[in-house]
Amino acid sequence: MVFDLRRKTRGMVNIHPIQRGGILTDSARDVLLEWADGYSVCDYCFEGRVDLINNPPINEFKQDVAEFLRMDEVRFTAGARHGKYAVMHAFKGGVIVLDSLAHYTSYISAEMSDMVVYEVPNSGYPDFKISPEDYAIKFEKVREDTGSYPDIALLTHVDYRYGNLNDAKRVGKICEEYDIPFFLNTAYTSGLMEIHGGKLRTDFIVGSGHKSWSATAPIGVLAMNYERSNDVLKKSRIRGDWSGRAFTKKEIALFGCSPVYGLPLITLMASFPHVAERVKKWDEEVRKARYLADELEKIEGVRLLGDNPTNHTLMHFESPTFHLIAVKHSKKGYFLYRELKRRNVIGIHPGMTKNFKLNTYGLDENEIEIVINAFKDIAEKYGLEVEN
Amino acid sequence: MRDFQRYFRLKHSPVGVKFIFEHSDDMQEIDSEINDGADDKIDEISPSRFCYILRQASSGRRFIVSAKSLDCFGAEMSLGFIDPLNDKLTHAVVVEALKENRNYDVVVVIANPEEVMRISALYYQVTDERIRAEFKGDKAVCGEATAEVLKTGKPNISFLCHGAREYSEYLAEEVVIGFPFNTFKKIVDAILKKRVKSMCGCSMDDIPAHVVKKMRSLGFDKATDHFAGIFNKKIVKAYLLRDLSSITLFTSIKLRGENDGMTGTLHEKVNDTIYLNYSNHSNSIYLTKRGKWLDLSTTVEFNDVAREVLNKSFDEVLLSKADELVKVAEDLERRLSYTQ
Repeated sequence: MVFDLRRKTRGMVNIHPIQRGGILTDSARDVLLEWADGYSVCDYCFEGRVDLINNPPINEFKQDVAEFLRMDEVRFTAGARHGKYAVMHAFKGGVIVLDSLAHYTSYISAEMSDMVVYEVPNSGYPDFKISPEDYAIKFEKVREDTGSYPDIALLTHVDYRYGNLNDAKRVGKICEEYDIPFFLNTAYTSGLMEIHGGKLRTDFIVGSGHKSWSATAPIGVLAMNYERSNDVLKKSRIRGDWSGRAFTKKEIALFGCSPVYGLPLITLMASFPHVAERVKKWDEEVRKARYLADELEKIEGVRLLGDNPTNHTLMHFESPTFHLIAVKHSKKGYFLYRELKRRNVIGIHPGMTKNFKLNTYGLDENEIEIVINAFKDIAEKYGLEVEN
Repeated sequence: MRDFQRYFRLKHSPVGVKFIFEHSDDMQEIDSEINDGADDKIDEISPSRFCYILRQASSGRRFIVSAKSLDCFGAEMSLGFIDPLNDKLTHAVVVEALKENRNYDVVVVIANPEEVMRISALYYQVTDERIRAEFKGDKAVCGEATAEVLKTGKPNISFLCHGAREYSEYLAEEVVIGFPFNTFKKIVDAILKKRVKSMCGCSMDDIPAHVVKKMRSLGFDKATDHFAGIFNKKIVKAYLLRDLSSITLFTSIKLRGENDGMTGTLHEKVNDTIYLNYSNHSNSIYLTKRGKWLDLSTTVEFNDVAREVLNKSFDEVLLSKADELVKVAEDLERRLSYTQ
């Protein structure tokens, strides 16, 4: 079977909520073919672990990333989810407190590690805010139920659903007061905005290379402070009973040697200088996102949920008026996706009209206008009121 | 107001304290009330300590305290019966378990340290300020938690005094917090908003099929984490609490004036005037301004939605609430357009 693998959306304005921060830099595209082979980074592997390879300079890059996040230790993982599993594995059978808008992989990682989950509630419609003080209340609830405080607390810095930016500094302070390790999921923030692990009082940070560091999937960043890293980076102690074989350099939670060989790691490295610079321009990205949100809210019934004004480029809109069109349209819920595609805009989930998510990260002013005009044009075509 | 007690699971009702100053308009009314004997007679328990009277009030009673009903000189001093309080001499003090739609000067809460911890966390969320505790173990309920709160306009935690502990039945694990009434109302508002919670998208799958069918039959379509319907051209969203104990209905109004030169002052007016008019609405419709939007919400309480959808009254209750919400929204839109 021969598949047609050409990407049909090439050249369109992509506003897919999870794709914008993972679009490769020119530097990364330049090295794609050279490092495309499966184990390409392993030509000079002498230590048996990908993070210890010196040629290409992965070992040195590891230190750069640690410094970039103001943390002590870094490992590269098969996505942020792998990093979460690695951390939670160190607290196997314990109790974790996490925000109620955490990504599903936060829950699954806890489940893999036989942990009990306590959720910090959110404020519900339409803001869906997480209150840092509720972490303290939940810590006390855990102690009331179990006799001791939780083993770890996780905060999703920006949630996948509403793009709300949570107050990590305040949660970090509360965790410090309770002496509970603080785990920050920065899948939608590190690589896009500046993250200072020290100031946020984090013990663990995970980031997503393919979501926010302009790298090829699957690649994640796991950063730790020295005090806690030994718990996570435990080395193998198993020994074959017949052969006596042992793997003492292999780190258990990272499957011995983290499976990020080849393009995931190389593109992360190639994009890094650009990423380290672009985080300084985050305010500009937020400005553009707010402008787009203001313009889309001029369409009858369209409304930004979550933080308003937004503090992130990932945004969630409710659009019941588009749903009313969909009900009568021959393409039903797919009409919006199709109409946008006709106008060179791609990335809205096909079939969604009551609500939709989009991400403006890295779009230039012209592309922002293309998106705004596409939505307004569709609205007017179907008789919705659009404010001037 | 009972929401505060329920939310923090307090054993005692918060107590409202209202000062009646000499030469004030309320004086005559209070004197006639005393003569009518409509309320709990202070004679039954007086002369007594103010802290004792307040503790009795926390179990649901109402008292009007004058200087002659006090046998604690410290309380007479603190409460302004001898030396003026805020430049005014006190004529009487109304002390009662908190009631809806009444005005107070101070609200005093009897709580244990864990409850204080939870209250102060919410206070911080609402005001961005830490709650303080200034006390010296003397003139505590009357002074530190009541008169000082009136003077400073700030809440205060008091660890009580010898009189309160020894003679007024306060337990070893109890302390009191005094709040200015307006601050207390802000906390209650925050609690009411907290009750308006959503279900996450995944949990929609947990809603029994017959509930979904019923909601659809009433015009509410299922969305990712809520139901939505159109009522008289307005979109109404229905969020079910996870335990199916209530349904919260939302609708919204866009404040179009902002782009037409509508000033921030007018936005404030929207909050101040219209909010107040409707927040006292018998059916508790809550208004929240959010950017260019004004959200209206109301919660319909049920014992168990899954059972109650089987009753005919469910349709009527839910639809009449939706209808009422839409009418308030329309009325508000008319008033806003008139204001503009």
